Amino acid sequence: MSDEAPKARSRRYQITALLVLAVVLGALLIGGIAYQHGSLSRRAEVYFIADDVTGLAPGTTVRMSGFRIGKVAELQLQDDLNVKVVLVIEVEPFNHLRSDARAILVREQLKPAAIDLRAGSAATPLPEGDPRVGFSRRGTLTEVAEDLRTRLAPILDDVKQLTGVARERRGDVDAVLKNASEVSRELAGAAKEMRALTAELRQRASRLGAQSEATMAEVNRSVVRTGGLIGQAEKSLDSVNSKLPGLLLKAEDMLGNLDAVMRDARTISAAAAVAVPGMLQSVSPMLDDSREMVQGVRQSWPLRGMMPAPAPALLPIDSHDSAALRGPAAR
Amino acid sequence: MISVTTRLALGYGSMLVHAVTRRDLLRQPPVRAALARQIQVTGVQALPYVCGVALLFGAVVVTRVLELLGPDDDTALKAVVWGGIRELGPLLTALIIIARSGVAIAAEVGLMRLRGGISDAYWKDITHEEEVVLPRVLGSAISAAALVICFQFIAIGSALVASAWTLGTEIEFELDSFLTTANWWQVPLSIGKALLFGAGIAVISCYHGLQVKTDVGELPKAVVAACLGSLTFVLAVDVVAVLILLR
Repeated sequence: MSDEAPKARSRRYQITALLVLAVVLGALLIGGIAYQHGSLSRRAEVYFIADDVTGLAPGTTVRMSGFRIGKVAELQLQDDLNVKVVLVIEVEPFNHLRSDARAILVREQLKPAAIDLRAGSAATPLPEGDPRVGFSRRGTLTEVAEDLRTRLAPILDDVKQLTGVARERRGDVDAVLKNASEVSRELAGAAKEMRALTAELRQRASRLGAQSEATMAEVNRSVVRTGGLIGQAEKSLDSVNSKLPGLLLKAEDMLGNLDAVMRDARTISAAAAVAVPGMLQSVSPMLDDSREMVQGVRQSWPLRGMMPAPAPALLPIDSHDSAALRGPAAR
Repeated sequence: MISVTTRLALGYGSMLVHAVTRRDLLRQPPVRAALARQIQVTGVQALPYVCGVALLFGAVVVTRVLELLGPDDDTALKAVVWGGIRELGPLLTALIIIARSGVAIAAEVGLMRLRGGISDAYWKDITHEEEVVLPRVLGSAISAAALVICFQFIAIGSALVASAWTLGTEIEFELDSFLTTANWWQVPLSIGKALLFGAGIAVISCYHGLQVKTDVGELPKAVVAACLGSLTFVLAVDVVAVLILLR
């Protein structure tokens, strides 16, 4: 009995240790998984409506910025055959969601589907009463390849057709190539001429540049001279400006005097206008009397011998000779 | 064939029902001592071997998956979760229990019958029968559950270390990814399966051991029948569990 007691005690210790170890390890395993899944923390729900949920299932991972924040909790088929997908996520990421938040279904080859939740950038937060987010899907490599195939197939067909046509019209192509070769040769010649022309133009331009420089120097000198003249003109103008007021005053006085003279002349002319006609009327009889007196004296004896007989009058060469006309006319 | 199967099922069922209905006998010191002996033999003494197998299992599964599928960490972790926790962990533990304890129980009970430890006179004594069956069934079930938990923990740890070493990632990252991929209810589910496996193996082994009469030649037959019956039972239960979970 005394031998059995230590064995039984040892056995009891070993069994207790095994059971405690198992309980601790089991609790660690369950607790760790539950903690990672957020079973020990508060959760929030969001949902979206999709027309096709291929690849989605309860438990599908929900990520935000690459980190797992929750999972798909439920898929509900609606009356209109759309599917309401309910996501359970952590509370902290939920607070970052805006009203334009989106859920993107990501499916990659050989990897399980996942939902990438984008927070959005709207000013208003996602309403807690109706936490609905948008939904879109990102194509798999197969879908992308199918899309590319659909787009490339017609292009490849066209290329195939074009190459067939080109093969059929190879003679035309050879002719075109020959023409192209000639054209390229001519183009080479034209380029050579263009180079020569460019060189000549460059020389002329350099000469023009030299002439322009000389002209500019001359212009500069003219400008300098003009500047001097302008300076002299400014001086003259200054002196004119200084003397002009006096001249103006004198001119005004002169005009006053002229005005007085004109008034006197007008007065005299008015008086003459009255006296001259009478005088002019009396001059003619007086001239006739004088002529008769002179004729009488000339025909008197003492004087008729002392005075030569008058020369015969010459006829003027031209009837328009003003000098002849102005001379004493024969009577 | 059908009659044999029916007889076996009835026999296994009678053993289990007998053990459950007579659970109050655990208060008796001889029964409790037998229970402790069974846990020590099936659980404590098998622990080092189970730990070694789990260590190799976790590392091999991950490296094989990574070798086959390339550096796909998600798939490798999925294999760890499914293999280490839900399916292969309890199954491998059950196989170890069959190889170590199931055969031993059948041989022990058969020898007891041969050596008169359980004579017809004793067999009529209900206490003796329960001392043979109840502690072995209960002890195997408890030991199987404890061994499965240890197996899972070590296999998962080994797989994470192997995955991090193979992919060149941090062990914290692998642990985080594993915890994310796994579900907490898978652990109690696997413990339940282990309890069922342990109890079933013990029931089947006890039944076949008790079928030994007076001929020594019946002993190896009983051992083989216990081994095959336990193996069939474990696989059948595993298939049924998979079908239930798939639904």
